[in-house]
Amino acid sequence: MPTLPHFIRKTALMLSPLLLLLGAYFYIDPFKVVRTYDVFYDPKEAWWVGLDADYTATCTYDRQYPQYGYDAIIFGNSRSRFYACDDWLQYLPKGSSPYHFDANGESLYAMMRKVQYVERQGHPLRHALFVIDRELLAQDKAATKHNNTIAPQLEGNTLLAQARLQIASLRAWFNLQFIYAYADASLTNEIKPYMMKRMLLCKPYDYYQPTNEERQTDVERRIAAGTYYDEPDIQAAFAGKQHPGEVSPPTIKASQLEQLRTIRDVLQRQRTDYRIVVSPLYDQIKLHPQDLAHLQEIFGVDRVFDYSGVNAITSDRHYFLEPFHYRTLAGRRILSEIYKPHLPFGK
Amino acid sequence: MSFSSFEYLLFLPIVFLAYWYLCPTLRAKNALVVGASYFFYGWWDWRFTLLLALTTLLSYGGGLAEAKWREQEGRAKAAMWVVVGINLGILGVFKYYNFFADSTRLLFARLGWAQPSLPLLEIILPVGISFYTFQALSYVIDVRRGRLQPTRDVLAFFAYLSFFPQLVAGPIERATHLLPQFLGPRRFNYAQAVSGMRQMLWGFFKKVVVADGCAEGVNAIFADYQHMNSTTLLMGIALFSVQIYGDFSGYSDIAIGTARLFGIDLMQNFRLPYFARSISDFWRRWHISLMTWLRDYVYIPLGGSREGTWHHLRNTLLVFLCSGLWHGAAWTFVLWGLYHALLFTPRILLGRQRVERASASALRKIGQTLRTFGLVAAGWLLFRSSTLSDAVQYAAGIFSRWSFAMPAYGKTMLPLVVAMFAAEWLTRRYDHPLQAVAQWRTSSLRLATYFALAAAILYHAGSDVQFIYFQF
Repeated sequence: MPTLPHFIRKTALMLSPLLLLLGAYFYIDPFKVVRTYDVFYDPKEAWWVGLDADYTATCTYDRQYPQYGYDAIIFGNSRSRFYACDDWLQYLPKGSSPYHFDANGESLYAMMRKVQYVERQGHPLRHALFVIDRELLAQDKAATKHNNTIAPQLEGNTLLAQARLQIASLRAWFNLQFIYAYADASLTNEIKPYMMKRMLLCKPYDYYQPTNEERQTDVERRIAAGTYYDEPDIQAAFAGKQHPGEVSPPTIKASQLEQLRTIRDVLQRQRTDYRIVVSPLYDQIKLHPQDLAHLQEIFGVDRVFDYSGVNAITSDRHYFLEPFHYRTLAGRRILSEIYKPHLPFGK
Repeated sequence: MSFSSFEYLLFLPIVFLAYWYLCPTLRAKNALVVGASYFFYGWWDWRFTLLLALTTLLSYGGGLAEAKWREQEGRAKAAMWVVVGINLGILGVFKYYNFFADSTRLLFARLGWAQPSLPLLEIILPVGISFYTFQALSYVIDVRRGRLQPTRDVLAFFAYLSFFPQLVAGPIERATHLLPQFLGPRRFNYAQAVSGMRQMLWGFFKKVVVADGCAEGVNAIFADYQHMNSTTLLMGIALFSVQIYGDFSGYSDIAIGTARLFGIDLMQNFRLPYFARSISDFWRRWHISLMTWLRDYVYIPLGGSREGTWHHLRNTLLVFLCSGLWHGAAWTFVLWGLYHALLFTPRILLGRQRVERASASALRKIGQTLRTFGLVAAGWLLFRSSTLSDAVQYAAGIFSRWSFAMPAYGKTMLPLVVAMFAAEWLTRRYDHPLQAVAQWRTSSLRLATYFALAAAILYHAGSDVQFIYFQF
């Protein structure tokens, strides 16, 4: 009668392809979370793996802070990337050092952790810009996908936090779609459309490391050429996406209130000059008045700028790359309005 | 942690190796089961473990009290009812209080009366509370009925109630079946362990590949049903029918398979339900552990079908209302239960016994099967819809936006769904298709099948779709 050791040997043999994959994960480190890196986004490479922006932003911040001494930080999800540091600097005192401390699908929880992290490191936070929306506000827990798991450093670098990051990355690795795409890209050194599904791999973009900025140079060039918005894909992407007059259900509950107050307390201790922007989403769905009231009550009416709903930006698709992300053009306009208190905004 | 999570793939081998190599005695094995199960359950929220421990201690103590007062009928009965009452009370508070408070306020408002001040509680619903509460109740009731001797082995009892493979989504085990397995010695059985691995593989295939694959289409259709044509809406219902089957039966297969790795046998929970030829046949094949529980602890004690037609109707209605409520604190679930009770009504009123005669023609059998599937699938609309209004509007859309156009979603899932059902039908003599594959003489063909399933699972892995029945 076969025994337990026989069962284990047979099972290990059957699972050997998975064990090989596990070894390959640690050897290749496709998501750059096993070893330390000076550069996460190498412009010389023909394609990139979709990395965890929360983790890369935190590692880059830690590594570069001694050189740049960041004191002006933009927090938020991927929509915050359309507030260019160069544009923001126009409204900040000379000598300010800006940084994009954002993440894909950022959660309110992780944003709070970033603010706390900056303070815990003893770094003065003189200026802050928070780019939020109802999706960010809804997330009061750490995300668990491989491209937005919270950086372990933000949670005290505990074993659990490190394990969570590795597990999220392993989960993405142990997916035949990813492995096939990775192998294909590695062999052909080409990025193909199917590889970019689910943000597995991506084309290299214009990345400015000193400020951790993703710049949309390529897309802006296409827009400047004049044909971008006439492309069938783009037209189809925008079609039927607007819901003027709709109001989102209330998002902010007890846990979010606590997290928002925690952020506010840090800002008060740091005497930070901050602004909170509620993003102009193309869907024109207005942030619930109760949520706005909470934000105004916690951060101050003159610090919160609600660009949700129907306004000059959301009514013009030329402010948007696609329905989920606006352009730096919109960010620039918003910055000019929120830093010039006498100008009306959103009109 | 969920079965389809990476953490579980790390957790299981560690617990398995520790169980067989580091636990030479029965006590050690049970202690490890308890420790591992509480770790597993606490992974969601450590506070859930306190409630589980409370339910366990209550039920354990209740059994001992019943034994102590065996000669004093009144006290023994009282002990049972106290434990049942407290367990159901805990379930009621965590699961039903807010529903009750909300519904009462709404009713008062509709009647124009002053609304009672019933505050809403901000509490999380502990995962699996409906499952382990029923399992605990089965113990105290069976001890009272003399079907089971109460145990003094607190470790074995904790293991019985917290056993991680079936803790959060069943099968709802009976103490008479599961507890003795924790009281008796367990030795590694190669055939049982291999059988367990096969069943887990099949379960993962059904959950990760079929159910999660259907989920994409289901979510898209239900999120925007107001703009979908009739064929897409019908496809939505069909896809959800497959999703909930793949999800729930897949989980049960993984649970049963995992338990076998530890030398424990769990009851079968599904038996080709969509091949049922009548509603009563369906309920003998779907979520067998819940329906037999309701039959033994609600239906039969109330008199079952023995006290006349109206009592039969009443008891059937109560069972399905309980079933609906068990699934969730929402009117859609209550109406779903009521819908199924109504489907039984014609048979009860007409006094018919089983309609599914073995001698019926193939055409008749197919017709009965399709009719039963249609009735069950229609009920799933209530189950899936967020509100009654959504369900009504969805159904209205099927008739008002009639179209013969191809459905917008689900076409790519068709081959997989057909393959799954075909495999299950062709191997219906077995518990699951891979038991039949195990009989194939050509080892390379067997291995190819296993690897093909594993590759399909790996291909679809990472979609993060939660098990549907975790919400119950």
